[in-house]
Amino acid sequence: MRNLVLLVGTAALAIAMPAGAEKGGQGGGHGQGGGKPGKVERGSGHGGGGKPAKMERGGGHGGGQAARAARPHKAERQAFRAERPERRAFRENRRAIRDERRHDQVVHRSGDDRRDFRRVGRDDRRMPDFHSGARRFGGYDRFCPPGLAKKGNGCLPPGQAKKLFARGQRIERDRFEGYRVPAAYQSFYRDTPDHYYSYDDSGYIYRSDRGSDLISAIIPLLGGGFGIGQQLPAGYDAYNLPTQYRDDYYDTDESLYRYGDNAIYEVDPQSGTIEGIVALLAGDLNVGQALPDGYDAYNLPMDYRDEYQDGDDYNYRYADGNIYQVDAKTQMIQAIVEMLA
Amino acid sequence: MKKSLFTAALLLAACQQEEGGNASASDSNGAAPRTGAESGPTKTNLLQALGASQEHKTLAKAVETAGLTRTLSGAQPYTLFAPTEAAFGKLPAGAANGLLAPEAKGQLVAVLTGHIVPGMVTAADLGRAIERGKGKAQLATVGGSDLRFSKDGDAIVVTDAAGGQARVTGTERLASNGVVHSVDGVLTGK
Repeated sequence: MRNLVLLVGTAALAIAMPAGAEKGGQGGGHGQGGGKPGKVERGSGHGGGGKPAKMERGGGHGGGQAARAARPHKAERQAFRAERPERRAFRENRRAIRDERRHDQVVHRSGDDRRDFRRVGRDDRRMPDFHSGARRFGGYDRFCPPGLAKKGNGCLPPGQAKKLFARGQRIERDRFEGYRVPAAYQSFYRDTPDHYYSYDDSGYIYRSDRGSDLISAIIPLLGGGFGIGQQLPAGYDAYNLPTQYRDDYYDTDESLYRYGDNAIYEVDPQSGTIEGIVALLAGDLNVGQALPDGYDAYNLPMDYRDEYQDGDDYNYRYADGNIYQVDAKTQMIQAIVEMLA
Repeated sequence: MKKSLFTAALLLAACQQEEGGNASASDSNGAAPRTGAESGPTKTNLLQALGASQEHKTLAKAVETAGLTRTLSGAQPYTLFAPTEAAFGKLPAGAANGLLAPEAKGQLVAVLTGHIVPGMVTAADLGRAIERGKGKAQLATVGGSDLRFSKDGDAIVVTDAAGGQARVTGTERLASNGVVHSVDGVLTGK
């Protein structure tokens, strides 16, 4: 019985959240349509302090539609229940996000280990891996024709959903026959004696080693990863901005904001399309860690330079909306002394 | 409308006076600045600084195509190493146009974010960092790669992760939310 409740809960969550978001209503499938919808309620346990939600378009349309969204159609519920791999992908996605957040927390490392860790981190950032199983597009599939929506692949017509490869896998050359890297990218991704590039309109260019055929890099293009004008990938149903950005960017009827791949994206609530990038984050600095490479220069905004100057005891560095105090001798990041936003 | 344009022009003129020495910022192409930030050494933001510069027309277009306009006009500070028109001209034939094509947005964002560093690193800050680092300094970009800086005589040379190089040229342009340094090459990172 508990399982059944869980299943229904998950289904409601998956289907209702985007709908709730669209209407500025409450996520989580509570079925509250009439009240004042707001962004603060959407955040999953991120603490209060937010501003009251904006309701530029009034609350007139909240009730009926939000309530309908919170109680998905029986057929939809059944379809969702029937697609077990989909549910698994949904759960794995959430787990991946949780792991990512854990990864952001303080980790004590030293010396070479720290450098390696950082290098790997930055590589991962450059090449986001969206290859975990089937790509689902954040529940926005409901804007597709019903038949395609069920596929959960972003409205791709039959036969166009491509197999995606991961880094380190051997590329299957025959899958790329008849395709060329798009002209716009050819000057950047030209074959070399060591590497060759493949593209199959899946949204990714693959760089493979000529000798082994192993994929050494995946470059997301429009349609893969994040890109302006494309659908937000799965797993970003909930408001997830870092604390220091929450006052500036919060969900409204007009725009949703989502953090991913070290940027904050503005998303159209109706279509789930990424409309713009409103902030870029470096994601490097954490209290308790040593100052990583790449912060050699003093970089504080003008307004803070009088107050926080590099000295014999402390250095100060800015990143991602925060000013960090760094021990001048040990180069350990000791504290966040200002949050700019 | 006319009045607001006039006010905006006055604001721009005032900013340029404050900036002093940044003569190149005065070559306005008529783009009226939008809202100025309330604080900082200048009321022009990074986006406006680019828009007002004749030598960054392609870059300004690229920023718009990539969807980065709100990033560069927001409150968070960034240091932009801005390829000039001449820099885009050095790319292989068709590459600049290819980058600006609608289907290349992902790549365009990747290239542009490889030129953006968090915070405000002025030329003086950069010079001091290079001095302290015995001729070298390294800055992390928001695109995930690092830029390395060194000096060649008086000029500052910037090298990307793949060894591509450019020189910092002209005078820095201070903005309310960061600083723009012109560079004479596009750092494609490969």
